Amino acid sequence: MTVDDVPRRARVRARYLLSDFLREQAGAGGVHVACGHGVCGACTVAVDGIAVRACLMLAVQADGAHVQTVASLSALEGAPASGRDGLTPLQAAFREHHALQCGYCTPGLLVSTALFMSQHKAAAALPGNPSPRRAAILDHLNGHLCRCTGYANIIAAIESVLP
Amino acid sequence: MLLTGQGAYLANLIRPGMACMRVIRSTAAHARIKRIDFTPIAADPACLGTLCAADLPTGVGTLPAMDLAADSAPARQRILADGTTRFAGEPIAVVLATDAYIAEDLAERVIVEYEPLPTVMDVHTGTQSNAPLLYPEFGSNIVHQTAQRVGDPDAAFAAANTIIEEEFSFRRLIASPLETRGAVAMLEPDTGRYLVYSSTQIPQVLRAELARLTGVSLGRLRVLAPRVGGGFGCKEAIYPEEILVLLALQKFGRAVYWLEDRAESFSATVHGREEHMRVRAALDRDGVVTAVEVDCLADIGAAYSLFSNTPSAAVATLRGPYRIPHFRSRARSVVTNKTPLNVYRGAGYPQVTLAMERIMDLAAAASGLDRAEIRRRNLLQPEEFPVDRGVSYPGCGAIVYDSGNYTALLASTLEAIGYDGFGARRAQGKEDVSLGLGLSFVVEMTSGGGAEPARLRLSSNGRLQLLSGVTAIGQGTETTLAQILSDHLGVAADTIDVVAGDTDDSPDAPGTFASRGATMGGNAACQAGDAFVLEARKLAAEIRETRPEHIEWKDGMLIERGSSHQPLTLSTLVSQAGALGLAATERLDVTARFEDTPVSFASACHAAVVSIDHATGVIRVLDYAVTHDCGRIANPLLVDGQIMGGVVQGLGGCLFEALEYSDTGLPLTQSYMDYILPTAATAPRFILRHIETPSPLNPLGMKGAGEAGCSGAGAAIVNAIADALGPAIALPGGTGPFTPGVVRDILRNAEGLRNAEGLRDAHGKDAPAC
Amino acid sequence: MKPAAFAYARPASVTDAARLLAQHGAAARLLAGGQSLMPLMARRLVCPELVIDINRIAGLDAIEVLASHIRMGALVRQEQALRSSVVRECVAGLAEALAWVGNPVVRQRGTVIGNLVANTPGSELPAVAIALGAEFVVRHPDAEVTVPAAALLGVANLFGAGKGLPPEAMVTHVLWPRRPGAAGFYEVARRDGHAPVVSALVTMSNDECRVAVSGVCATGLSCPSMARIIARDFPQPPSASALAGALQDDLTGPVYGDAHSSARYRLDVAPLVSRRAAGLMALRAVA
Repeated sequence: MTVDDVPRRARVRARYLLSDFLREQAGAGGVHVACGHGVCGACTVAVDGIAVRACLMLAVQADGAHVQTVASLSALEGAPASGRDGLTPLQAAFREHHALQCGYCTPGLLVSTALFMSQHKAAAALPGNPSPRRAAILDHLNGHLCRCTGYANIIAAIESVLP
Repeated sequence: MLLTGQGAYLANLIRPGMACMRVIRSTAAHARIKRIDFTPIAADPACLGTLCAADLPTGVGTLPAMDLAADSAPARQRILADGTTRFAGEPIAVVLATDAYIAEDLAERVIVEYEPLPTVMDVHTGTQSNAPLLYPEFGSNIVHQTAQRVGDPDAAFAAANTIIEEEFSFRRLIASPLETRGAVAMLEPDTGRYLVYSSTQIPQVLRAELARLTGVSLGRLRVLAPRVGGGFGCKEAIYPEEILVLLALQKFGRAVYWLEDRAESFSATVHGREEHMRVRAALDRDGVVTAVEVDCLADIGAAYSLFSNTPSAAVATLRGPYRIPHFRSRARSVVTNKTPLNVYRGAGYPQVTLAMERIMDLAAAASGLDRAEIRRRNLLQPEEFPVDRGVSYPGCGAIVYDSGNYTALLASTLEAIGYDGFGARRAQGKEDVSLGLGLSFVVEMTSGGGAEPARLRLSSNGRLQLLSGVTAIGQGTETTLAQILSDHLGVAADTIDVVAGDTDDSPDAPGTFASRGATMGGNAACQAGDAFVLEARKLAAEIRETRPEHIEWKDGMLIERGSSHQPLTLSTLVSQAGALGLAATERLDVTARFEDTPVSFASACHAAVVSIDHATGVIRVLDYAVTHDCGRIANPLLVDGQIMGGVVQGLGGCLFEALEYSDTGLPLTQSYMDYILPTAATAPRFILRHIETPSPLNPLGMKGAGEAGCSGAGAAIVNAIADALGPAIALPGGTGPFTPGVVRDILRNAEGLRNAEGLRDAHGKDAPAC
Repeated sequence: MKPAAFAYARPASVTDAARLLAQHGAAARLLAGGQSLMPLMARRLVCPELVIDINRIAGLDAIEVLASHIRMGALVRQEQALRSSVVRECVAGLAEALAWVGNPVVRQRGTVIGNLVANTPGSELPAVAIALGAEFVVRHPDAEVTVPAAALLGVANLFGAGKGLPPEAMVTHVLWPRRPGAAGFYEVARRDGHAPVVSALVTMSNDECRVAVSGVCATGLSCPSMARIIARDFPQPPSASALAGALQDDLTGPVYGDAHSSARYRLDVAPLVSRRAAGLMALRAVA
């Protein structure tokens, strides 16, 4: 597979989780395991462009896939990182709105949100009645737990970058 | 940088070649351990070692408890269960393997045989005369008690116009930071010292305890807290696993790591909140509360954690912002066959706040007074400060409120939530949805716990480095401290690097708890800053061959008065000093110590608007207003973040979260499907305001802000629920979680009564037809 | 929380998958989206000897329009079905229910059939499949049969280890009868986005009303008695007490309760949830 555009090859046990492979063998320290049973969303990565809970996938299942973590956020967002700190628009919005405190849920949330934003923009471009923006954001955030922020700033950060 | 996923948390420190430690935990709530049999795995080459109690060095002690009284029974926690296990989840043995998968496989194959003993699963059972005893040698399951009295409560109750009595049960909850716990023990390559990393709020305390328990001298021990993914008090404890990784390193000679998984965290990490209270209040005919008394039984689990008795000690502060001249409290800690209890955000304040604020609403109803008005009649007034409450709190001495303006908090919050117009808003509500508004007040002790050191030094590139004892757990103290120091010294905040969590840098700091970080750390940083400026002026004077009195510090530059020389920046100071053979970075390396001051008291007034769907029982918190006073604010954005995070945590405890046990004492809560945390969709719309009544107790005038959000939320929400249901419906004494099922039970019982008696509902409409 | 060791196979065809299942029976588990199976394996509540990963089997991800059915293969993802215009146009109610399953990320990986055969108490889709008369195409080692979903899902059943679905059988497709119309869905959970406690789907197609209720019995319910009341009163809202009475007739077993929500609550709330779903359906029918 490729992980953040770097090819990785390994022989692994069948039960080796994708989350562990990414952390331990692909140097993706930004993939955080918080619950290990697919509820909290902290381990979210993109596999062939789809948001996936890495703790619910076997590494072997990603054989041949293009996996992207928070390190590839710029590509996932379709927007360049810029500024002195090299932040994407979404990351900059999170910082500006103080949408993170301990940071443990943040990388998975950023990956998931970047993909949600693309989908939302695509859906908004279609004729018909896309769901109201805030309702769509809350539905998206149902898949993510944060214990520090109380969510209001996360919602505000996402609203600020979603047209 | 956390936004790019580069935060180095404990799990990021694991290296190939480290042994993985897996804990074998008790599957019985109370039992004699007949045998532990490692033979199924002893010959397995994947097994790198095992430990049980018999393998521990003789005389290795028990874990520390810091809030005991002289007469507290020594219900101390062992590192590994020895002969008896007293809670399901208690560490019994450990297995080391090459990786976590194998370690889990091996652990499953170890045989542990139990002989069950009768269990004590609640304080009422535990305090009966024939109760099974967790520690027969104590003769009782009550291991600690405190009592306090102010004035003459008996006389006040005798003279009362009205007496209100209420019982409250607070459920067992957990802090549940998103990052579970973990620890690593290894040898430091160059020095041969032992290096222990732990996801902890208190690395300095851990180092002292590791030395005490393992016999390793302090000089050979370095403890570090890496980036920590949340703590909320559950990482403010000393745990068996932290000691075991070092013991395993000593015994088996290889670096060891332990990572807690989410399933084990529900019983392996301390619990919080569980208390049962009976409260009585005396009112005069004007709605003034003349006396209040509280009797609290705290369910502290099977053994002491670091601060098991502290939450129930908060009953001493039950009166909150209210004058209430006569008072009596008693708190008793009862051991039960559950995970040990420790502080959890608010440390007892959420419970006393809810009790006091429910009493105030009930008092309002009994007196025929508006709920805001009865509070006004009882609040301490600004001119009364400082207010000696006549009670004390363990480790902090006398409770003296330093400053505050509670009437201003109330007025602000009433306005923010739309209190005056609420009747109209309620009337516009939908047929089968009731709206309710609830108020609460929090007066919370902050910044206790000991003197705070700080070290400030100049790097060779002219940047400032602050070495702080305030462990970062997500509350942004790195930013806050940099900002405070920046304001104090007049240098740009982004030229200041704040580091914390390493006992090499700050060997004797208390750690992060009690919302002390910004206040204590900030004051210590400013003191260090002052010392730094003094040294900088001396050095500049030497360079300029003049006297320090002629050198001024202004905005990070050293200016020679009356001279046409360029001011010295810190960078040029380094290079010019170097040219003269003076090492600026050695000279400009100062330590300061902000001595322990009396605790300061932050305060807040909360208001919640909730909706109750009568058909489904679903409660939503719609709007939430907080006016908060933490003295002088360094960073409003961070303070607001703490408040909102705390409120949502309190909301979770009120509506969704609960730990459940089976009849035989086994935890039923094993995952986030069982333990339901709040999500974005459940967060209210926030209206946040601030008042600053500076604390006279420290030069910066600051108070802590980490917990008053959490402490007031349950009270405001429960009061709002009671308001939505109407005065004809009594809330049960249980205080949560208010699940849809609980609400439907309340409504169904009330409908039954109403149908039987033909009453109209509280708001003048017929009962909704649903 | 690492799974116990297992052997792993990734067959390229249904035939190969079926053969492996036949050899190993209950000791094997099919792995599709993993959103139900992987959490159980992580907690070691399920420890198969062999995991048969069907994700690379070609052709199973198709949503096909047949004469009187919509056919979905075992790899059709929940989100894919939710976004499908074919599903919206041809199977009243399915998209409405899918919108409430899990959350967007879970739905992009989880499969429709995976969710159905997991048959978790309270789960939305199994009740919908029963009430809408869906059918499963089941592949046994030597034969392929089409059975009513109700026959399999009406029995408390987890991953084929119960009476309804023998362990060596594999559900390859689900057939949804084509029945366009109006639909309304409502659900109550302990918290938004958490597991459903009670859900109700009400559909109206050519004056025929169908009602699916989950969470009242251990398995999903089709509620023809409730449907008769809704149809009789349509477009007026039915009375909750009438629905409550009808629900008693539609029960197929004891009322279900668990640590999250008691049986009493579920029985109490189901008529009200159904009434709301009926109201939402009526809005769409009139529009």
